[in-house]
Amino acid sequence: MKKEIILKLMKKENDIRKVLHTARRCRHYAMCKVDFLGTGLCPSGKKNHFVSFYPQGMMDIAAAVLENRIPVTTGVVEVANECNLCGICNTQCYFVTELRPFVVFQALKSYLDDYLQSNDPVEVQSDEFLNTLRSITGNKYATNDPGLLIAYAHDPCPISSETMPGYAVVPADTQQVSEIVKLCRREGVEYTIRGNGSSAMGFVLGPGLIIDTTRMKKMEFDTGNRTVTIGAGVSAFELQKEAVSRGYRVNAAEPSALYCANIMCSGLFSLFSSSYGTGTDNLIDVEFVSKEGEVFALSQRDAPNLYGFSKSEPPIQEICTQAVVKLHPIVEDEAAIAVPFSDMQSAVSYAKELNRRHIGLGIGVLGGEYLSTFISPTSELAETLRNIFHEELGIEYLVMVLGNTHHLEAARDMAPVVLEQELMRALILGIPALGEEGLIQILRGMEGEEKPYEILAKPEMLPIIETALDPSPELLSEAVDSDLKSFYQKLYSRPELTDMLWLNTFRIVSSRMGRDGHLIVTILYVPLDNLPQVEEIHKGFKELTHNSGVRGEFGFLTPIDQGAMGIFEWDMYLDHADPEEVAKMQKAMEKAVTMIEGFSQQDPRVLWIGDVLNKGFSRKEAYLYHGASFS
Amino acid sequence: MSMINSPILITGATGFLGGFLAGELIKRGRRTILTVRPRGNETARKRVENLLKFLNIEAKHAPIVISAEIDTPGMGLSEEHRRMLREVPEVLHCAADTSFAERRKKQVEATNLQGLRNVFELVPHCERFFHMSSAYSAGTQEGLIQEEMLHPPGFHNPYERSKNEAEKLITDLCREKDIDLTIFRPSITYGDADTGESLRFNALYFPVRTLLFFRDSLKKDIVEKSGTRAAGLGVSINRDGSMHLPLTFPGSGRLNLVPINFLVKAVTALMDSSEIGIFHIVNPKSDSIGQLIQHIERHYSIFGLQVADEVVQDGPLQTLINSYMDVYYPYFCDKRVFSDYRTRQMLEPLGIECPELTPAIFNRCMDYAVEAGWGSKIRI
Repeated sequence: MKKEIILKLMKKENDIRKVLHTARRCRHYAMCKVDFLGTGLCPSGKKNHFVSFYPQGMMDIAAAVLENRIPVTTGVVEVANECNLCGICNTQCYFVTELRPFVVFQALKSYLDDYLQSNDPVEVQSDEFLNTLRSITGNKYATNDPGLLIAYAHDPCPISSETMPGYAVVPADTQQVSEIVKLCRREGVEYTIRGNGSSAMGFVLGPGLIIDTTRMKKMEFDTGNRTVTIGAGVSAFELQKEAVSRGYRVNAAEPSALYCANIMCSGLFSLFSSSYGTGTDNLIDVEFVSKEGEVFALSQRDAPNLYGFSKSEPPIQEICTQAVVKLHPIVEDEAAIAVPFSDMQSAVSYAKELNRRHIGLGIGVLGGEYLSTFISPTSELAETLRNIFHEELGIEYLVMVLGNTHHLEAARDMAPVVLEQELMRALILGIPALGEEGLIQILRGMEGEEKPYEILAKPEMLPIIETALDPSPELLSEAVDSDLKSFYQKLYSRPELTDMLWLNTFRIVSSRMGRDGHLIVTILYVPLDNLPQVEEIHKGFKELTHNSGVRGEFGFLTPIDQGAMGIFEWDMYLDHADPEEVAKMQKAMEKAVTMIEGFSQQDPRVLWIGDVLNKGFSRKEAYLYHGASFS
Repeated sequence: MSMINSPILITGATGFLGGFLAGELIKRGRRTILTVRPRGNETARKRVENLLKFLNIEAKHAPIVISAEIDTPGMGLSEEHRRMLREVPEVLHCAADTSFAERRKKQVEATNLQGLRNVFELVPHCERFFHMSSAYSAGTQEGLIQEEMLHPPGFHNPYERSKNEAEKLITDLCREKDIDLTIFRPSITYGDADTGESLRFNALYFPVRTLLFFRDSLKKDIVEKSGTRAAGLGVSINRDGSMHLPLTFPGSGRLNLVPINFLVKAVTALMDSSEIGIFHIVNPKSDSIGQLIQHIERHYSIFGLQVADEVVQDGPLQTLINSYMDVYYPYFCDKRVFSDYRTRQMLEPLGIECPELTPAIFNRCMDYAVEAGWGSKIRI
């Protein structure tokens, strides 16, 4: 073979390797399904609804096609043709993971161009079940094409195994869902519900039919009643955006998660849960489709009691099709402060005390890992910042307090030191300069009894910090890839991108916690009257992850129910495309479950997400008040 | 006399004092064993190679380098290395954590106390132990500080306490085993008075670094921006290009400064002698903060710096300087006198004398520090 041909082939193989490296690393977090940067949505996804047409699905399809795991079907060709290479995905995905899906789609298109010159795509034959499905939803909204279904074979859980479904359907409304469930019951087809083509936690894989609720976009505000009715396809980001534009806020968690699915999954928790509550606290009414395909509302007197809770009972089987939820009015003087601590007990005590006294709309103890990852535009800077927070400044934990002027005044009074919004803005926009020799080393050199962060937090320090860092969107954009600099300059010129209150309301930067790899989130409810136990749990996770050879970090703790309980999150990270890491993580998770059960035996009030999973419509009182009910 | 042909164990050889002392002993052809902590991707051996390169030394006897963690029991050594140390007759213990930070108290104690014990336990046949302490193990003791064991009423920070306790610990341990003990107590050590070279840029260097940081950031604001931030901080540039930085330093008391090359000469001379006990490695002519400010103003064209008896609270820059002075006040405004009677008796006949910090030496040392990026460009 000629040298040029060999070189060409080698280059091609190398290019494919790079493409696959990106394609296999999609976190299935569905951020490409919400317009969180104001770039607009992927036009193909918006038009075609199946997750297969969004960047997330296309990554899976491209990987499967290039690895010859699925045939080139008409569905694959349609997906590739619908993608106009607009590049929105590149900006969105880079913001979250630093991945560049664009090259993957280019490669898929180029591969198909070559392939189709001498081959025809496989046309998958319909069957009776699919025909009936299509008669319910319309032809376009049901499929059995593996080229499209492969996008439903993965979910955000990084240790789940690929499970190829037989069919996928995107119903428009409750009536269609009801008919689909009845059909499945009749035909003995297993079905699995998926929100947004994924859900925040995962565990939404199945071999039968996938019912993707993404088209159910109903959103009706009743500001007189301070409620909004939302369909099962509305994402937390979409809902929050609409609510905020009307002067309200909802208690929302992950921006890409579908709001109804998120309630179902875990009962919704965010920093705002410290005042807005969790479980059913924000629900007025919910509509379901039962296992039998019957439609009912929770407000009906003869409705099944989904408010109850039993640890031993399996997750509920009903499908939430719409919900009426509370709107919380926004007061014009709301803002945020951050209170740094060098130890967990002090941080949790402070957060608990605020909550006990009804101070603050939102409260959360964040770990240094969380914070540095959230506010850094790149992984490299996050690493630098992590070191700065921990080693140089001595910040191990940061309590974020969101509230109105009066809340924040009280929170300041109770805090040892405070990092004000203006300072946080300077730090966020000045991150690239923070990593340089200068300000931080000067602060570190002054450390005695006073910790460096205490010096940093002095109000009179702000002009020095601003002079030293010279923070600006231009400076921040220096950190990102050159082709994205001008986009980042514009993006960070928007005040909300450095506004702690906005960032906590919309949570767009929290998706960055999956930037360095995928992650497994472990959430526990912990009683806050026993802070040494909280530290024990924290220490237990630390040792467990260390001994299991996986990277693990404390995520956050939010006090709820007037400081009675805390929602505690511990995160474990992995490269989900590496089978060894997946195996290690599976073992770590097994150990984690055993450890948590041990803590639960010591104190039955300790409850983990596994016990509550898909029982999110239970009243929080049913699972947080151990031994206080009649049954 | 030192045991010239037998090996000496040196701890802390990649630190400031330990590094220069190890270099000197290696240069003299002394057989050395260095216990060194690996750092990041740098192995212990690589760090020593870096040190020798930095000091421009070609070793007649290549040092034996042992990778060790001083605050770990047994220092994490293999049996082979333990065997090697068992036969060592002399130790120069320079390893120390010099942090003044309250939050690092546990680490400071682990290194300076448990670390010392760990070292001692590994050298059962040691005959002579040289322990690097600090003049500031005197804590809050006032007046004339003698070259003897001290029992101060308190301490300014965890570092001082640990150094004082370490002196007592090693004294007890050596007494029990009838080992000759020499304790060196240097004051604030800066770079080489002849070359400016240094490995650490804290203490004396820090206020200069801070002022230059202010100068450069504010100059940028004035020259490249509107200068509003600088104006808000009361800073301006004069017609001749000099900068007006209105800052006040507390002025009472003095600083005791010794250059590293003097310390090396003094310590090695004392090690060569058969004298044991405590020696103050200090400067009989201490400097005032006013003198230091004069050096800074002349060398860097910074004006507006003042000395006052009381702490001034005025503006952001002053707040930062005050934070610094909170930590370093005991050393920069020291009213104590460190007696060096015993040390001088030994050094004067050898013509070893501590130089004054002249403007030329100050400039040389600070220029070196700036060039070295305050240490960021030195990898050891």
